[in-house]
Amino acid sequence: MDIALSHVSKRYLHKVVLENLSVAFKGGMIHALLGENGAGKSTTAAILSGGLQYDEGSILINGNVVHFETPRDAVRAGIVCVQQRPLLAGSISVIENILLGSEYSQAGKKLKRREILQEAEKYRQKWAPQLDFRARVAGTGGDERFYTSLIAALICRPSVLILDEPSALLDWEQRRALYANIRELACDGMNIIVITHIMQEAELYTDTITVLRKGKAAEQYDHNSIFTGTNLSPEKETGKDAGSEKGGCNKTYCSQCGRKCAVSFSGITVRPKKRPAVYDVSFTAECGIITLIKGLQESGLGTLENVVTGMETARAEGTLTIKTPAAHFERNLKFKKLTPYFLRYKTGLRTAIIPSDRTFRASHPDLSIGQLLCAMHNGMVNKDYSDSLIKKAGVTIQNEEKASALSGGMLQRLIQVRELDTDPLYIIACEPLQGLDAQSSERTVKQLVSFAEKGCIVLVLSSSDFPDELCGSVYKLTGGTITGGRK
Amino acid sequence: MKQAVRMTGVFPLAVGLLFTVILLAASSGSITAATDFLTGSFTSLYYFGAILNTAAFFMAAGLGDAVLLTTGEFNLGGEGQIYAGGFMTAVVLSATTALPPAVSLVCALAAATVVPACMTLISGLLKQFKNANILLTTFLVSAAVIPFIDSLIAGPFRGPYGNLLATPFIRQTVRFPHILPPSPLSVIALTLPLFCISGGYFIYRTRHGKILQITGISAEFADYCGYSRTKIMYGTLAAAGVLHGLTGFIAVTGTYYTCHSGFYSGLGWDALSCSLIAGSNPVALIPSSLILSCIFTSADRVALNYNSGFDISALIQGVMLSCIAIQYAGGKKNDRHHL
Repeated sequence: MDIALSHVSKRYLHKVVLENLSVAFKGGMIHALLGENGAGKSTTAAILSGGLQYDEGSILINGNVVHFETPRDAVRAGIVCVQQRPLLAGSISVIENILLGSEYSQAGKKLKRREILQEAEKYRQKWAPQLDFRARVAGTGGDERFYTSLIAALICRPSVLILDEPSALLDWEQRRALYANIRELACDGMNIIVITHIMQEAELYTDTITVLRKGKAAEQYDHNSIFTGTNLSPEKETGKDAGSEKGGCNKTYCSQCGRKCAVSFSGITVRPKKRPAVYDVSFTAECGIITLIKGLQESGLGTLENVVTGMETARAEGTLTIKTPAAHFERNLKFKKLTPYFLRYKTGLRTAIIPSDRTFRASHPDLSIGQLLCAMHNGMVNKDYSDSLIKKAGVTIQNEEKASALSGGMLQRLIQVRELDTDPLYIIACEPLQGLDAQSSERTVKQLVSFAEKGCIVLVLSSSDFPDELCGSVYKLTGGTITGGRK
Repeated sequence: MKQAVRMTGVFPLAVGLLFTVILLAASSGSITAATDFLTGSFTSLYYFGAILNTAAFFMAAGLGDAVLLTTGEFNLGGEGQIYAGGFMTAVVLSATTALPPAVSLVCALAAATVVPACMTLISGLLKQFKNANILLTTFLVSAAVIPFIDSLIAGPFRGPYGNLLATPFIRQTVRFPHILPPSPLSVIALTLPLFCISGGYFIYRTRHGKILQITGISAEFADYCGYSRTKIMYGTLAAAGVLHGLTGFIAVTGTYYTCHSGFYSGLGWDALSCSLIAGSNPVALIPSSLILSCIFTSADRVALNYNSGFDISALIQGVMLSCIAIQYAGGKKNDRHHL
């Protein structure tokens, strides 16, 4: 099924997101939709899948004009979108979330519960064998939420499948498996549109590349044409050259205080009921360098993130030691929980916490931008302050608007600006490049390097993407334990 | 103060009003009852005062519900808390007859607010240590306290009034006078709008209020920001208990001058309805309480005058709460669409 947007415009009160956009996607192919944060990629996906109404223009399916009032209309027409931030019901299980709304398939055909369950199991085995259908969604990671949403979408047997930044929550192995599977679907005639920031991924796995620039124009290339006329080189787009001119930071001692400041976790063991456990994990993050912990979600990276950010609800064992010129803290986590309150306000480190879950932990769709940005100032919205943060982040949004109006990348930028604006001495950045375009990734990496050079303790937890060569210390988390690493 | 003027409950109020008019017209067989329902209460000093007095109860208890609702929790034990507040007021005022009236009133107010606050704090402890749902535990604690107070009123604290199940009447010097006789409207009831305005200022203009709002929107985000959710929970639960206890205090010292068995009946649920209609906004609670009080008082008046049955108030309440639930679900659906 071919699908196209013809002269589509979408305006909000304070900004124009899409202007006179025309773009076509042919069936039986995988199409990449690229662009910087705020270029209008997610808006395009939302319009195509009936989640958003456009102001002007039209949607064409096989050359015929169609109009979607709701996402259900789009599903009936065979178009399903897997959102970048799938909104699932946290208090019910994965399979119950899949069952919700999956009963209405393409052309309004109603599926029986048994059929849905059979289909879901079939897709689980093929796409996400590790996914536990009985697990409560509230306790699942970002990748499991993505697969839940993807399986629900596949059950609807779509002709057009839109994946909004699927890579943001997946590691390289998962990405490879995902693209292998969607290639099979494309070969069977499905039209697949993938929104991504990663040019390498687009080049490797997709048939056409469409670049959006501020929602005003689209350039489309296929892999038969020479990919030249743009400013996008794969290295630049992936942010691989980010920080290279700095040559990395390998200082061991804090340039400001001349003394060794460090945050050490030793013997950390946590066994959450429904998430991967971590066993006897020990590492030290020192000032003046970036300390990177690499690992996969299923290796316990999410659990470790919860521990180091003070958000772990399961009982932890181990010791946290914080050494600074001003203070020395040692906390046995078995007897006294680590909390964000302690990290932010009690250690004197003005800790900045950038979690991997930017949608429901570092923000919330129902919060206003003012609340989101001023929350660390006890929620009192200071318009001048939040305006200055919006300006620093380079995002077009107003204080009164909801966080749900932001694209994923814009939200990530705002969260980073909010956290780093407090002049922190300790930065915990979990998947800091997630959802960022090339420029923003480069800026973020440079910023973290510069904080490290100033003498901050910078701890990065990442499943992929973050450049190792810039880090003074790299640990690898495998199977819930730190197995390797260099110093 | 954009939030201050935003009322989410126009729809349930309109439906409730329409439902009442139709019901009255149908049950009495003529439009006279319905017309009287709309206008009758304003032609009688007694009913006009009763509307304002009931609205004051709704404001006090509704404010407690609003504070807790702002943080995303529900207090379903309002009735027991009001009853406990009223009972403690009557008991303390009876026991301190030797003290000067002002001291006696202060002691009664302290007892009337502390006991319901302790009731809500039990829910807080159960939440903290057993992760029990506050909505359920407030209701259960209240359900346990009500028959206990009933038995005390029927037993050792019963006054010498023949068949009346009530504590002894409080002495004249500790009574707040009725200002619109023969209505039960007392001077203390007129202070309640000020409480609501102060509550609005607290929630929408202060640092702590902003924290409550953020916690209500997302508990996980509040944790991440480093807010102490335990303190917030205990603080708001205590505030809810205190305000419900205050309602009981006002009822005993300003309206009934005794604590009679079951005086709380319906008050807790009606106050919760007001709070939900006002969208947990304390300032919007003033009009929502007045309108709901007007509907209930007028319905009771018509039931008395036209012999159409006193169950009509319960029916109206049911319809309104259903409409609130529908509107809430609809609002959530719209939110999703705007994402």
